Amino acid sequence: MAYDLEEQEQLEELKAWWKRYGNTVQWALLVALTIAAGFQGWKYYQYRQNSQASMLYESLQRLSVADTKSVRAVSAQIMDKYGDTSYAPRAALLAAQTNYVAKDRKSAIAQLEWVMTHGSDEALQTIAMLQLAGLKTEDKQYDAALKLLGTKHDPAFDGLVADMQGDILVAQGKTAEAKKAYQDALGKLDEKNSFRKYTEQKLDGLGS
Amino acid sequence: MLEAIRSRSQGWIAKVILVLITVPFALFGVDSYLRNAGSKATVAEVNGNAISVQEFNKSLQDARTQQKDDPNFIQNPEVRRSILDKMITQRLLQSEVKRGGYLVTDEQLSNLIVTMPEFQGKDGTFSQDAYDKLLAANGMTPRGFEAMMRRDLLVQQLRDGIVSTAFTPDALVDVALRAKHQLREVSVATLQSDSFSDLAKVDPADVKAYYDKHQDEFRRPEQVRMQFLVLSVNNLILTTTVTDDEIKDFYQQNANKYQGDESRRASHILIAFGSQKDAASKAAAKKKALEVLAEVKKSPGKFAELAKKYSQDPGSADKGGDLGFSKRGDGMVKPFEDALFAMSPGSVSDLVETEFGYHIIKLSEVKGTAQTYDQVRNQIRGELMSQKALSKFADVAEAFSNTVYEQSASLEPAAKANHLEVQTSGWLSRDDVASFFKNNDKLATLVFSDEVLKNKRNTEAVEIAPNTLAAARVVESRPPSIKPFDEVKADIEAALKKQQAAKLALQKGEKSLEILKQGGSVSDLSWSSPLSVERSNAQSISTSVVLKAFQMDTSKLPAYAGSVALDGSYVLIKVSAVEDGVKSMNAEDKKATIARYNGALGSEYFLAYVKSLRNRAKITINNSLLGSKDTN
Repeated sequence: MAYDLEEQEQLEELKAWWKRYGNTVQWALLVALTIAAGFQGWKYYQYRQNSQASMLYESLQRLSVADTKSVRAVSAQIMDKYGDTSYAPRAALLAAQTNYVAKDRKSAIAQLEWVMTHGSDEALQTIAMLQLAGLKTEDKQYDAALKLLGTKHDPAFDGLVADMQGDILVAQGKTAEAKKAYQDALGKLDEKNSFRKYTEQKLDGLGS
Repeated sequence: MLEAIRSRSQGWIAKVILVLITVPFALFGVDSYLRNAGSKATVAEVNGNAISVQEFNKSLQDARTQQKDDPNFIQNPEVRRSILDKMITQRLLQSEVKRGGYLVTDEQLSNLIVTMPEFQGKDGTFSQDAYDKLLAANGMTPRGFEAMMRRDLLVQQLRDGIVSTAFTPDALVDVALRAKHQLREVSVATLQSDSFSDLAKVDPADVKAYYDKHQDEFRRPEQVRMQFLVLSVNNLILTTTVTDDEIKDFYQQNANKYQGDESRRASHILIAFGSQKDAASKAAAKKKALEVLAEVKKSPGKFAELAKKYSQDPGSADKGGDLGFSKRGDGMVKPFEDALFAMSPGSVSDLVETEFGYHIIKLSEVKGTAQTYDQVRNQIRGELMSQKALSKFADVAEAFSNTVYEQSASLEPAAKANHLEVQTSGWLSRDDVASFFKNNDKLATLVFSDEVLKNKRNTEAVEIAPNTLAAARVVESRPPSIKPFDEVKADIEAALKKQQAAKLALQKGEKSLEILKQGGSVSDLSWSSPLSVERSNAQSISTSVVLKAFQMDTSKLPAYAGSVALDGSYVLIKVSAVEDGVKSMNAEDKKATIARYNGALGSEYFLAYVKSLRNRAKITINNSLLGSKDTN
């Protein structure tokens, strides 16, 4: 292939440019490729973690609450091996539920506390907080339960928090404050869901 | 310059550029460019994820289909908003799925699809054929369908994952269930307002004052008293006559209709006309046929043999002339059929002439039953009468309309001509007239037109129902007015008396309540016997009383409260005992109520979860597009 004069000139320029910057370009390419490969590897790792956690979690969901042994084993596996995935706090909540049913309060509390300190989902952390406060209420540690409910949480759950505050205040015999808490809850709970009926009835029971 | 461009475009630089342009298309396809070209308009955006007008319209259409295609349904702004909210929630969940790295593996997905009942073949296992066909029928590709399933599965995983975590320590469930399933022992004492009406005194001056003050309540619209005529086809039926001959004719002409499941088995001997159906061959055939008939009559028992011997019907001759069973309308030639169905079983007919030749028919058997003439005679008579009346009605109706119109100063001529009687109504408003004539607005409008109302002409005849005409004229009318005092005096007095009585009942009730609350007793109250009621089971006590009973403060028993009933009576409520309804529940019921509680709690968790996603998301809604009518 014969080049005309103009093209030969361009070719020369290119060769000169390559002589000067070629090395830099090669290094830059290498670095870029390494980063890209690392990124892909990390993504692949994430994918593997998530997909394995997902399969385990699915099998966990199919288990009965009463199947204590299996629930404990599967949830422990998810929490230990795939603790950074979104499935971990969910698995822990299920484990807490099962442990409560099996009358293993200590494990239940430990799992709820684990959820509150792990993971990035504030909603799940708030659910764990509510359940932990419920356990404390059952243990008659009313002040501790109220204190827990007073800590920072996801504001979308304020209605449920106020409802539980009402329950605790009733248990403490503070009827007037309990009424206020229930009224507060009714203002924040979903208007169409049937849960608010219970709150209404508890409020009625205090004599309005 | 053009020359320069042309020469360069063939150079190697141009080729490099060409490759650079081609590569993205090769990798991503042209469609991604095309897809993003149109439909830029978005109804809402959720975390940068757009809901396009197209998608929104599709959801609206789906909602509309669910509402039996009521087009107004999706024009309601609230409905549109709630549909958009649902879409936003879906987007929020989808973006949360992405953020949280939730995954459904191919294995999980195929496990689900393979077990879906829609795709099961005849042997109860997954059928690839059924899968492909069903997808094709819904205009989907397997890839599209699997992506959709995966998305749904992930959202479901997200939802179930929240809902299933719901649990409440027993002590707290108990608080809620005890409130819900409490039993309260309730008795009531009703102070009937009626029993105070003797004590209630109404000053005549107050009645007049009330009348003067509330004139609006006594307004009366424009009213008329009218005369009217109704001409219906039923009037004609009575004067219609039907003769027995007509009924017989009808029965015969419609024999098919009355044959029921009757079928007859015939044998025949055919003496055919031959190929030339001229008079000579006909005469020859008849002669021959008569000879055969004579022979048959001599020995009817040998019909089969004779048929074999003489019959020129090649299909049946060998079978002794047997044609098997047939019903009317099965395709026999008419003279043959008529003859066969007029015969009695076992008999042999005379010669029957059809287009084929002369038949000698034997009826060997009858199966099933037909409706006889006598059975259906009255039914046919009725049918014929209404047929006749209907065919006459058009003429009669026209004459009626003409008479009403031409002699418009009275309804009498039209009444006389049709043996009707003119009827007269009471006072009626325009709405009353319309409902009087089966909601016929046209006639009501005519009655209140100047021509009829002021000039006292007849209305035209109007069809107010199928085959029913009506015409009216106004006898007298009165303009809108306020009812005179004397007419309403008694009503006002009664109403005021009732008010008074209710007030007295309230006074007495409140006084009694005060005494009862102080722990005193009121002697002249008659308490109902106490009933143990639940919120969901009011028994014989009214639900409003039960609602009130459950809002009473029961820290001190018995507790009392009062409430005013709809009729003004005062109801005193006594709660004498409070019981724990959960205690008396059997284990199964208790389990079910706890499950219901946790179900409600799970939903509440999820709703709060969605609210939380919403709080954290960046959502913009394009209100101008949300409200707009469909664009497709």
